Amino acid sequence: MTLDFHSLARGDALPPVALSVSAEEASAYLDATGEPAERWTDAVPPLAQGALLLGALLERMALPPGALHTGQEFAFLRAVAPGEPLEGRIAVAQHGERRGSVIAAFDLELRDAEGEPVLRGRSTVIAPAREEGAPS
Amino acid sequence: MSAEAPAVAPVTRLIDQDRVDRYAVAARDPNPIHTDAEFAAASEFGGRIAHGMLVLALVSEAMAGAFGRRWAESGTLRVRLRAPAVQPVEVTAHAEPRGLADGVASYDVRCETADGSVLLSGAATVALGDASA
Repeated sequence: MTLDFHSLARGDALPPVALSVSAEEASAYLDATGEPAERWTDAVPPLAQGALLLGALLERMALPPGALHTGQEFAFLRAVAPGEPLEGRIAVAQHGERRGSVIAAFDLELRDAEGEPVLRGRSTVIAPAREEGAPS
Repeated sequence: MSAEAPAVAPVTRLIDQDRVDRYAVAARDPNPIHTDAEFAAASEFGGRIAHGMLVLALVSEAMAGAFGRRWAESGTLRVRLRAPAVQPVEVTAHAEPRGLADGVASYDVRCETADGSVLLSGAATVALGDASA
């Protein structure tokens, strides 16, 4: 299922996403960012968790052309081991139109197998409003 | 005695298309504005831009360099992405100490290009716990 960015509404929630960051995925992330890998031998780089949760959102919702990622918040609550099973939750915290643009904010949360949050965040995106008559 | 947050060393890195392409795969971010030259040429930017999260990764790296695992256990970030990073571009992440209160160190953070253009700015905190004693 692909979500339509413009049809979202505050309070919408995506189905929970199973997510774990393997050692190989963490290594690929560190290789791409350039961060020294030896720093993260027994824990996943915290921003990698957030990046992959955002990736899960983008797999389910294509951003419209002209969309911009304008704000990002994270709180890292505990270190996560490579391969540890996590569940990602994504909900629409804000979605409104203003002066030809749609401003949307997404609340992000990763929980461990016990249901305890290990990461929280919020992503803000601004995109051009859909023109009248454009296909949804 | 005033409480001071520990210094955080800046991190400088070249963000080029190869790095952006690898990041797109590693982070599973399919947005063509980062990787598709033809798509990006028709955009308002006129070319491919780096992921904001890739730029933000330099801030996280700087904080992890100073605080190690404690960053993963208690760090917070709150930033505005102010300008696109059009690659290739050398980006430096700075974290300027703002204060230390109740065992939590606070920083003003920013990423800027060599000519001083600010790509993102905001705040970061990390709990120092016993390490601050």
